[in-house]
Amino acid sequence: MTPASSDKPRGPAFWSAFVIGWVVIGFGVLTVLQRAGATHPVMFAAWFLGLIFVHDLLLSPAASVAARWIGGRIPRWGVAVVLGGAIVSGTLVLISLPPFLGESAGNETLLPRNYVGGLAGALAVTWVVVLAVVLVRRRSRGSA
Amino acid sequence: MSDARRSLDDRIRRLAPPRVGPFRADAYRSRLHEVRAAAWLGIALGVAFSVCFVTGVISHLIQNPLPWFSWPARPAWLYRVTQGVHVATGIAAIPLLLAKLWVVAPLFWTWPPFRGVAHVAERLSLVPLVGGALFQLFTGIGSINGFRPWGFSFPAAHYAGAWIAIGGLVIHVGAKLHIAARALTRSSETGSHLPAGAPVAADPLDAAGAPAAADGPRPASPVGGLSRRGFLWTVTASAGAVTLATVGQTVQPLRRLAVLAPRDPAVGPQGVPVNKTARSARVAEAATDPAYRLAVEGRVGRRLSLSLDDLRSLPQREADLPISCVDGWSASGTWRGIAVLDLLRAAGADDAGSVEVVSLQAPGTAFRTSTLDRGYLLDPDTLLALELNGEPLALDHGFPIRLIAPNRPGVLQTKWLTRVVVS
Repeated sequence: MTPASSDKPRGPAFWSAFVIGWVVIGFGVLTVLQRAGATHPVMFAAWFLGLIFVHDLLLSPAASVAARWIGGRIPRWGVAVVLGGAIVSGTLVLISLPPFLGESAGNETLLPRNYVGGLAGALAVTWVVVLAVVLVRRRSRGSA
Repeated sequence: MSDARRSLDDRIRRLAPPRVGPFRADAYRSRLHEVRAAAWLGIALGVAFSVCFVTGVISHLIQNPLPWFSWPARPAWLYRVTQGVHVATGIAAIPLLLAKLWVVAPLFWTWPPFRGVAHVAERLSLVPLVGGALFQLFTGIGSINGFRPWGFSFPAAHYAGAWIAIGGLVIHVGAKLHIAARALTRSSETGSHLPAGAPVAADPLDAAGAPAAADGPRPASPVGGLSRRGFLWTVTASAGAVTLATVGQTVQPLRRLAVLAPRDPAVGPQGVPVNKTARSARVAEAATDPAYRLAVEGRVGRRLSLSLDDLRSLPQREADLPISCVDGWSASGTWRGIAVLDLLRAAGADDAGSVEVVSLQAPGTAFRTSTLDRGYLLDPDTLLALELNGEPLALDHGFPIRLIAPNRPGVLQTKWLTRVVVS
């Protein structure tokens, strides 16, 4: 059996999960339609599908391109650690976007922090750790 | 196979467009697009989404009770934990989901796109799964930050989206469990590349000129690039970093580390944050009117109409209780006010089955009222509070009087009370 054929979904386990899953999905879709005044089904569907396209056609390829770009500019012994640092940094930047974009609408207890400073601090800590790991690795490699 | 069928297959094959761009067999060459990484991330995500689903449905049921569902008043910290876990797990799931989708990206461009009925069924079921997962995390983190660029109601859409995502997850587990189990029980260090059989070279995440491995066996730990283990540790570190940067909005000792959290549990009037301000609720005038009265009515021995001074002259009780917001932040406070039990006694309604408290907000406003069932009424710490942390309630905390009860979402701790209706 080739890996490709054994990896295909098959058998009663898959088909039971398929039926149960679509019943549950159906309940979700029904909820969207029943509460149309609140869920605005067209808007809901646009965001639901739009996020897939934004992710698959923009975010994911951009991550690959960025990784390739970074990887081509770093000495070989440091690539893994720097890429690791870049992944952590990218995640931190991503979750700092909602506080940057959000509105407190007159509520001074919502978004009370300095998020630019907070992100800068979090990135600084990340890269200090990256630097430390690189130095420790170099030293251990040098003494080996 | 008959000659006719074979020739039809040949013709269909010739009709298929050439494999270009991401459809090329060698488009994704990183070693990290492989089944073991996908399996580990899949397990982590399966757990994270299950936790979010269960805690989310609990929160939904507390706010939209069904006859068979009853939420206890004790322990007082339970909702603080379930909703804190809901939001923290959702945030931690962001790097997990992005990593997982990146690892399996080649399968999105798999060729041929469909290989039989089960394959079609499984691929179509990825739309609710992937769309639902992205939708839930995006709307969740957006909403808690006051970033709501969509045109729908967040609670309604997030609730419906949860069922769609979890249904997709059930199908995905049914389709992939045997693959994940096989990948993780295999003793070999290397997993199968995705899609199976595709050529592998050193690229994206193990870049920088590591030796091309397409023609030979791949080393277990590639020189110069991220190994699978390194990648998974990095994703774990990312999840840890975003957790540390936000979870202090509910775990007080980590408050100072929560540099990217939408709330600081110590920032607010009287040291407690506010979900809805008096101004946005449009109650400031009525709440500060000297003619203010709290009415106690419904199935009572005698109706009461109490001024602020009347309320202050009733026996007072103090309780340390958290205010736990649906947005995942929480803060503890020392509340002082009238135990609902004592108020009911004063109104000759000791045997009340339930009590509805009504806010000064305009009729039709969401969360203008909330209902206390018998379990809450019997709890001595279910208070109509006049003070927080030693001072009269700030206007934004519900002056002149608000409900505060143990183990309850903040949106049900109704503020600016005007009526107490006994049933």
